[in-house]
Amino acid sequence: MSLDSSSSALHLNLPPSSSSQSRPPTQITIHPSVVASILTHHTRRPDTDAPRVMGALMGQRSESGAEVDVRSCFAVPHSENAEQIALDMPFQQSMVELMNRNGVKEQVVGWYATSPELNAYSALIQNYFSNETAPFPAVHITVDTTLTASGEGLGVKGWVSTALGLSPKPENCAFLPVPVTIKYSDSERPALDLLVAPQPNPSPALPPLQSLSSSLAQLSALIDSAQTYVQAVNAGTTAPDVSVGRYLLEGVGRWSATGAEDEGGVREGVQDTLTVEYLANLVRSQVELSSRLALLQQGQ
Amino acid sequence: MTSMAAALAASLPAPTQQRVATPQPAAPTKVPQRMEGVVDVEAAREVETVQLNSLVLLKIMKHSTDQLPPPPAATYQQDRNAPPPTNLSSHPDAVGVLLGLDLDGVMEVEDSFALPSGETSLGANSYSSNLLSHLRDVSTPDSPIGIYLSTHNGGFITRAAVDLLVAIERAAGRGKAILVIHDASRASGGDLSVKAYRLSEGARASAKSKKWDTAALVENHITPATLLTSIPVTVSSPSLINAFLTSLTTSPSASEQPSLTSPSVPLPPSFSALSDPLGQSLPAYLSDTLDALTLQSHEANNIAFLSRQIAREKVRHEQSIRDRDEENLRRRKGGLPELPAIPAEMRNGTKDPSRLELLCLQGQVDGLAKGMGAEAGKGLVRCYL
Repeated sequence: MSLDSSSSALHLNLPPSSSSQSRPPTQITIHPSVVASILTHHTRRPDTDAPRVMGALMGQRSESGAEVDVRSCFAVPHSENAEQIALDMPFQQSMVELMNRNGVKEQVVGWYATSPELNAYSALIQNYFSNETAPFPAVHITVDTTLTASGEGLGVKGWVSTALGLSPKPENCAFLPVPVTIKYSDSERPALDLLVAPQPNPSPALPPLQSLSSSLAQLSALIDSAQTYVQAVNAGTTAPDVSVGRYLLEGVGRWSATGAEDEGGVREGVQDTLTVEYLANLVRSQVELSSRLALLQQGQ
Repeated sequence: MTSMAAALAASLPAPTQQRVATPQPAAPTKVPQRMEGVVDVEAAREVETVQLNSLVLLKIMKHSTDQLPPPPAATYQQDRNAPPPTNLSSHPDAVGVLLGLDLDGVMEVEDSFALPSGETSLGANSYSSNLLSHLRDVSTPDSPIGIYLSTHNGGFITRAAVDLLVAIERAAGRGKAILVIHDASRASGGDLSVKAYRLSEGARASAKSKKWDTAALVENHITPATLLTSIPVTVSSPSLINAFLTSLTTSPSASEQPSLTSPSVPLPPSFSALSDPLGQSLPAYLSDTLDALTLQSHEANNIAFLSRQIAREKVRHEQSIRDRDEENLRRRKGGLPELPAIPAEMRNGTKDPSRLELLCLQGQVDGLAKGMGAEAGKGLVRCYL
C-alpha cells in the first residue's frame, strides 16, 4: 500500500541476475516508528524558519539489494542557507557507532529530509551518504510536512540517485522515485489499532477480553451488512456483482466445511486449561507465602 | 478585548507538549518562569499517571520485534556455580531508556532509545550518557525518566531492570523512575498490554541505603508483590503524527476503487481470530514458569549456602571468644599477663547476602504464573463461545 498519492510511474521488479552488484533498490519498506520519528524531529527543530531537517536512516537490505527495509533513524544537525550546506559528519559517524553497539543488526541505508523538494544540496548530501553506504546505493526519503487544506500532504516518497552528465560530479545526479510501503509485524498491530482509534485514545492496558468482544461486535456487524446485501440482491433491488457473490460463496463454503466435528476437541481442551489454571494459582500462592515467611523468620 | 482574552486563554494551558519542548536548551534544573507551578522542582509530588507519546509506543513496538543477540551471561552475587542455562534466561529482552518530563503529576514520555543488553548503569561513561549528549544536539528532551522493557508472558522484574530504575531514581529524584512493560507475546495474540510501574516506598528506601539483605527487607516490608506499584497509562499523539496516522486508515480521495483482493488503505481494520490459540501459547507459558522456578530455586540454594556459611563463621568466632576468655581466666589465676580480648564483633566476610536477586526471581515466577492464569482464562472463554 503506497504511502503517497499514486504516481504514474511503473515499477518493475526484475528477477536478480548474476551480474547485479549494486542494483538500485526497487522497493522500500518503512516502519511507522521511523515516520513518527521524522515528524517529531521536524516539530522539534530549534529554528522554525528552516525549511527542512535531515537525518540518517538505518535498516537492512535484502539479499539482492532490491528491497530496503528502513527500521530506525536518527537526526543529524545540519545548517543550510543560500550559499552552502553543512552536515555534522562526526556526529553522524559516532551515532552510527553507538547504534551498532545496542545489539540490533542494522546499517546505514540512506538519509531523510522533511521537505518535498530536491535541489543541488540534496545531490551533495546524497553523494556523501552514498560513500557511507558503499557499495550499495543510498536511499533518500522525503516527507512532505506541509498540511494543505485539501488534505494532501504527508506524502512519503523514496528516491535513489543515478549519476548524470558526462563527467561524474557530486552535484549532478538524477533522483529516481522508488515506491515506499509501510511494514509492520503482527505483534505491533494492536498498538497501531490503538493509535488510530478515535479520540480519546483508549488506555493501552485494557484487559485481554476487550479486544475479543470488540472483534465479535465487528464481525456481527459485518455479517449483518452482508446479509442485507444478499437479501437486497435476492429481492431484485440491487444489481448483483458477480465477484462479490463468488467471494461470499467461497467464504461461507470454507467455514461450513471445518465447523462440524469440534466437540470432542473442545472438551479435552477444557480439562487441560482448567489444570493449568489451578497450577497457576497454586504457584502464585506458594510464592506469596514464601516471601512473607522470609520476612517473618528474621523478625523473630 | 475579547480576542485578546481568547488568545490568552488559547495560549495558556493549551499544548503542554509544546511547552515540554522549550526547556530543552536550558539545563534541567533551570525552569522558565511560566512553568513554576507545574514542574516539580523539589521532587515533592509523586508521579500519578504516565502519558506515552505515540512515537515512544511505536519505537517500543519496533524494538520488541527486532532480532536481538542473547543476553550476556551475568553472574550475580558470589555464585558457586552459574545457574543452569534455561530458555528463559537466554531469551533476549528489549530494554531501553525513556526520556521525558514530569509535569503536574503526569509523566510525559517524549522519546526513547534502546540500550545494549547488559548495561545496568547510567553513569558517566556509559552508552546512555554518550547517546544523550548526541541527542541533546538535535534538541531531544534529554532527561531519562524511566526504562521500558519488552518481555514475553509476563515475568519482568529482573535484577537488571531494578538496577536501572535505581540509577534513574538517583539521577531524576525520588519517586520519578518509571518502568513501562510491554508484553510482546500477548500482543501477538491481539491484545496490547502496556503497563507502567514505579518502585514502591519500601523498595526506594532499600535502594537508597543499597542494602537488600533480610533486615532491610523486614524493615521495609518488601515482598515481590510490593516491590512495584502500578500507575495508569494513557497515550497521546502530537498533531502531525495524528495526521499521519489518519492518512493510514482513510483512503485517499481520488483513488483506485477498493477491490476484494487488495485493500485501499495501508491499515485495514483487523480482526482477532476466533480459533483457540491455547495449543500453541500455553506450553510456552508453562515452560517459562518452570524455567523461572528452576532459576529461583537455584538462587534460593545459593542464599541458603551463604547463610549457613555465615552461621558457621559466627559459631567459630564465638567459640574463639570463649576460648580466649577461658585462657585469660587461667592466666589470671596463674598471675600471667592476660591476652587481649577478641572484639565481639566480627571483621569480614559476614555480611548478610543481598536478597534482591531472590526477590526478583520470585517476582518473575509470580508474574509468569499470573500470565499463565490469564491465558488459561482467555482460552476457557473461547471454549464456551
